[in-house]
Amino acid sequence: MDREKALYISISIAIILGTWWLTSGTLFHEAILPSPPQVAERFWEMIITAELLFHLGISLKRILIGGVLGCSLGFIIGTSMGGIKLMRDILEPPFHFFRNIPPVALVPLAITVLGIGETSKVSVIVYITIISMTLNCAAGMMSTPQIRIRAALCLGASPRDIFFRIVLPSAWPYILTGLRVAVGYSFMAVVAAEMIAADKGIGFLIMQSILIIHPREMVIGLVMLGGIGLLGDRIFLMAINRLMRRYMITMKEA
Amino acid sequence: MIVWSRARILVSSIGIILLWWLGSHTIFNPKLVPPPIVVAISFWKMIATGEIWVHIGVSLRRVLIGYLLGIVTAVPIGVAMGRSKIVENLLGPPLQFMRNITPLAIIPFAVNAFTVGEASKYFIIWYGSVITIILNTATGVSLTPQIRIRAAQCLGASPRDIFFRIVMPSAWPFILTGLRVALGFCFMGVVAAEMVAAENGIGFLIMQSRNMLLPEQMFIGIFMLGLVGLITDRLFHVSIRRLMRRYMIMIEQD
Repeated sequence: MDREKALYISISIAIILGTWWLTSGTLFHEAILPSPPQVAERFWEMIITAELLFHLGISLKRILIGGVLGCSLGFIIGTSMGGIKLMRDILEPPFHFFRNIPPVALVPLAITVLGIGETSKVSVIVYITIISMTLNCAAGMMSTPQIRIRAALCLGASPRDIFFRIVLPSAWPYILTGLRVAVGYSFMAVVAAEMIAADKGIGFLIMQSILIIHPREMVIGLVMLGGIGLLGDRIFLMAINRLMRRYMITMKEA
Repeated sequence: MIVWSRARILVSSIGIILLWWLGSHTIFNPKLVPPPIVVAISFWKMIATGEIWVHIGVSLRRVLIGYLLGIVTAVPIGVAMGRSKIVENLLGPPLQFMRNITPLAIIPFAVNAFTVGEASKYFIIWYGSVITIILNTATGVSLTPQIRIRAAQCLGASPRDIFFRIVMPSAWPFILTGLRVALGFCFMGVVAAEMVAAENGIGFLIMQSRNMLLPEQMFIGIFMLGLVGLITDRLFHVSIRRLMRRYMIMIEQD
C-alpha cells in the first residue's frame, strides 16, 4: 500500500471519527450512539476478558461449519448441473426461485423446525451458500468456451475427460467467485440468524442494543463485523491470486 | 423440445411439493411443517380476505422509497468517485469496510435512532442500496474507455458533452447491474427490518406466524416473498434488455 493511499485512509478515518464524536453527544443521544472514548473503553474491556473473542469465535465457528458444508454441497450440485442436462432442467427453476428469498426470511422457519440451537443457525448459512455456490458453479460450467471442447473432441477425448479436464478447469474463475460471494453471504446469514434468536455471537452483540441496553457493544459488534468481513475477503483474494497464478486467474478487489 | 422447457418449471414445482408432502408426513412434525394442502387452504383464505396484499403492498412501498432514495444519493457520489482519484481514495476504504456490514446489522441503530416508524425502515433500505450502487457506478464511470473520450475531444466536445454523452452512457451497464443487485439487498433489508420492528409487511407476517404458531402463514409469507422478489427481478431484467438494446455488447447472461 503506497504512502498516498495510506494518507487518504488516515484522512477518511479521521473524518469519520470526528463526525462520530461530534454527533454522539449532540445529534444522537449517547444511548443510541456512544462516543468513541466510551466505545474504546468497553472494547478494551471486552478484549481483556476475552468476551470479544468468545463472540467472534462462536460466529466464525458457525460460518466455518455452515460455509464448508454449504460450499461443498453447492459445488457438487452446481458442477453436476453443469454436466447433466436433466439435473439442470429440473433444479434450475427452484434454485432461481429460492435465490430471491433472503436468508433472514428463513430464520424463523429454521428455528421453528430445528429449534433454537446451533443447527438452525448453521442450516441458514448452509442454505445461502448452497444456492449461491450452485448458481455460480453451474454458470461457470455452462460457459466453457466451445472451442476448447471441440479441440478436445478432435484429439479424441472421452466425455469424462472433457468434463474433468476441460469444463471443470474452465469453470474455476466462476467457482472461485462463487466461493467468495458465498463467504460474504455467510457473514450476512450468520448475523441474520444470530439477530433473531441467539444469546451469543456477533449478531447477538449487535442486536442487544435494540432495547438500548448495550449501545457500545453494538458499535463494537458493527466494527468487528466490518473488519472481520473485510479481512476475510482480502485474505481470500490474496490466497486466490497466489494459488491461481498458474491458471492466470486473478481477482480484483471490488 | 419446446414443451419440455416450459414444462420443467411445472415438473420441478410438482417435485418440490411432493418432497414437501413427504417431509410433512414423515420426517417433520405436521404441526411445524404443515402439508401442502393446509398451506394452500390458508393461502386461499388470505387472498380472499386481502390480507396478503396489504402486507405485500406495504413492503413494496418501503422498498420503493428507500430504493429511490438510494439511487438519488448514490449515483452522484459514485460518479464523483469514478471521476476523481481523490474522492476514490477518500471514500473507497470506508465503503469497502461498510460493504461487509449488512443492512441487518444496521437495524438496531436505525430503530434506536429513528424509533419504530417508517423512517427507520427507509434508512435501512437506503443503506442497503447505497453502497452497492456507489461502487458499481464508480467502477462504470472509471472504466470509460479513454479512446472514446479522446475521440470526442478530437471532435471538439466540451467537458459537459463528454460527461453526458460519453462517460454516462459508458457507465450505464455498470450502473444498471448495481441497481439490480441493490434491489436484492433492499428486499433483504425490508424483510429483516419488518421482522424486528414493524406491524405490517411480509417480514412482520413471517415473524407473526411464528409467534401465533401458524406455520402455514409462515410458508405463505416466505413463498410470496420469493415470488415478489422473482417478479421484480424479472421486471428489472426485462427493462434492462430494453434499455440496453443500444449496448448489445454488454448483454447480460442470466
